[in-house]
Amino acid sequence: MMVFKLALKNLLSAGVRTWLTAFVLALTLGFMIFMQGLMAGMLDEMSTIRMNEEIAGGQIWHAKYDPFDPTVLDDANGTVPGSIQTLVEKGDACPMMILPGAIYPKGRFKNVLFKGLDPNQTCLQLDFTPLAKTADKNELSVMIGRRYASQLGLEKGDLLTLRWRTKAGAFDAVDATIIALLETNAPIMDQGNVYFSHAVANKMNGTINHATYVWVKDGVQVPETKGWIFRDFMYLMKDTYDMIETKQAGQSVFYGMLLVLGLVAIFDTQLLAVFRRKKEIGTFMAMGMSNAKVVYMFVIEGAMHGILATFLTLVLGGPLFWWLAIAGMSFGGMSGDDFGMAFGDHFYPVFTFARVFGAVFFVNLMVIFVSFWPTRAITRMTPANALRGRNS
Amino acid sequence: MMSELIRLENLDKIYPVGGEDFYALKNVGLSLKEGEFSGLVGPSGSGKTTLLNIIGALDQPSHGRVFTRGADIARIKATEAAKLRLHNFGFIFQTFNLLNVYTVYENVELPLTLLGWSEARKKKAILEALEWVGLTDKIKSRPGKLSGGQCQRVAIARAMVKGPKLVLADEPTANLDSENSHKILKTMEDINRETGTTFLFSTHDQKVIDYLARVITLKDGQIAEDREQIPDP
Repeated sequence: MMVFKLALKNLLSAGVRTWLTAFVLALTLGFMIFMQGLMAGMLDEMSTIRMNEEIAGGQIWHAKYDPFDPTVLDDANGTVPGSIQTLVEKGDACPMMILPGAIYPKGRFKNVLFKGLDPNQTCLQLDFTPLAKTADKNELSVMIGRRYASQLGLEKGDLLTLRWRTKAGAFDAVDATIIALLETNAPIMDQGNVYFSHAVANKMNGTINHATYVWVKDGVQVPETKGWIFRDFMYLMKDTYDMIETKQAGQSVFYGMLLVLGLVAIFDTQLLAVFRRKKEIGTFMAMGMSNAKVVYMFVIEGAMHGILATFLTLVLGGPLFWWLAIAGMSFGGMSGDDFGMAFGDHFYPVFTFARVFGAVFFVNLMVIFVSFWPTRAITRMTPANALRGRNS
Repeated sequence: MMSELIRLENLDKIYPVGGEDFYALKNVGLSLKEGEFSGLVGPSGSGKTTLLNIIGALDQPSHGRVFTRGADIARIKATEAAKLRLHNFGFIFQTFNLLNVYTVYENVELPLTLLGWSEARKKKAILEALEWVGLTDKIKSRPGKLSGGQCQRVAIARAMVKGPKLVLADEPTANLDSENSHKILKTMEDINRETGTTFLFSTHDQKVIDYLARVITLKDGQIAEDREQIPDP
C-alpha cells in the first residue's frame, strides 16, 4: 500500500510530465485501434459487397461452367430445369446467361463477357432495371460497369459495337446503346462485362431460357438437379476468404510494423523516462527502499500511465471512432478498384470491443514491461552507481 | 566512553580501468565512534566518496570487512543493505538529490514513509526537522523554487528526520556559497552536539574541515593521516 501511495504521489506530483507521457501513449493506442478498425472495416466491406452484389446466397452452376476457363463458356449453358425454374418464378432465384464476346470501344478491341439477366432480378442488390427499357434508336440496350466505362472512355448513351459467336458457330455483330452505367463496388461485376436482359442474351445465342448459372437467395432450399451443381456462399467466397487470409498475413506484417512504431513511442516515453530518473531511483535506494519495492513502484507508475492513456484514448478518440464508424471515410476519391479490392469510395471502420480491448491490453502490457525492465536493470546496480547516473 | 559504530579492516576497492586494476582504496583500516563529528579529507580522486559509499552500504568493497556495531556488512545482500540504510544511515549529497516533483515536506517525509510511521508521528518529526534547518515556511515549496542552500538544508532535514545513527555527508558545501556553507555546517554541528548523531563528511573544503573534530586524510586511496582537532570555524 505504501508503494502504491508513493507511485500515486509520484504520478500526481509530476503534473505535466504525467499528462505528456499519458498523451503520447494515448496517441499510440488510438493509432493502433484506428488502424485495426480500418483493416477490419475494409475486410468486412469486401465480404458484404461480394455477398450483396456478386454472389447472393449461392449459385447453381451448369455442370460445364468453370469461371476460370473461358473456352467452355459456349457450351456451359442449358435450359433452366423445372425445379430451378420454380424457384425463379417464386422470385427466389435469378438466371444468368454468359456468352464470350468482344466490343470495339473507340475502335479498340476488347474481349468481354456478355451477361444476360432479368432486369428486375431481386437476388443482387444491383439495379439492372434500365435494361427493361429500349433505347430510342436501337433495339439493343446494354449496361456496363461505371468504372469499366470510365476506363474505356465510354459514357451513358454511347453506341457500342458488339461481336459474338452464336450457338451455330457463326459470328454476329450489332450496335448497342449503353442505356445506363452499372453502379457496383464488386470488381468482378464491374470489369469486363456487358449486361443484357436475359431474353436478349438467349436470343443472341439462339436459345430459349438458357442459363449459365442461377443465383439463389440466402436461405433458399436448393433442389438436387442433374447437370447442375449448387455452389454455396462459402464455396463462392473461398477466394475472398483466401485473399482475406493472405491480407491478414500481410496485415499481420503491417500490424507488426504498427506495433513496432507503437513500441518505439512507448519506449520513448516510458523507457527513457525511467532511465532519465536513474538518479531518482538511486535516491530511493539510498533512502532505504528495497530494490523490489522500487521496481514495484515504477511498474505501478507505468500501469497508471497506461490506465490514464486508456482513459484519454476512450474520451478523446471514442467519439471520433464512433463518428468514423457511422459516417465512413474515403481515400481521397480512390476506390476499391485502385487497390484491387471490393469496396467503394467510402468504407466504414469496424471497432469491436474485442479489438479495442486487445489493443488496450497490449499497450498496457508493454507499458508495464518497459517500466519493469529498465527499473530492474537500474536497481541491479549499486545505489552509488545509480546515484552517479552511471550504466554499471 | 563512546562505543564503536563503524570499523573497517583491510579495505580495498578496485576498479578495472583499461584492462588493469585501479585501486580506489587500498588496505584502509578505520574506526568511527558514536557521536563523532569527523571528515574524510583529501584531493579529488583520493577515494573519499568511495569510502563514504562503502561505509553507507551504497557500494561494496572488493576486499576487506566493514563492521557496523560488530556486524560485517561488506557482503550483505541488497535487501539487507537497504534495511541497514533505512534504519541506521542518513545521507547528504553534494547535488542534494532531492525529488523535484515532491514538496519540501514530502521530501523530508520519504524516509519516514519507508519506515512505515503513522501520519501524526511523521508530521511531528518533519516539522521538528524543518525547524532545525529553519525551513518551516517552505514546506509546500518544491526544490526547484529553493536556493542551493535551502535545498541542502532540506537534504539535511531528510537525513536527520528519522534520527539515524550515522549521517554521511558527501561534499555537502560544494555547491554552496560561503554564507550558506557556514549556516549548513553550523546546523549540523548543533544537531551533532544536541542529539549525539555521528557525522562523517567527505570534503576538501577548508570551511568544512575547520568544523571537524577529527580529520582523516586520504591520499591515493590510503589513509595518510588521522588526527583529532579542536574545531575552529
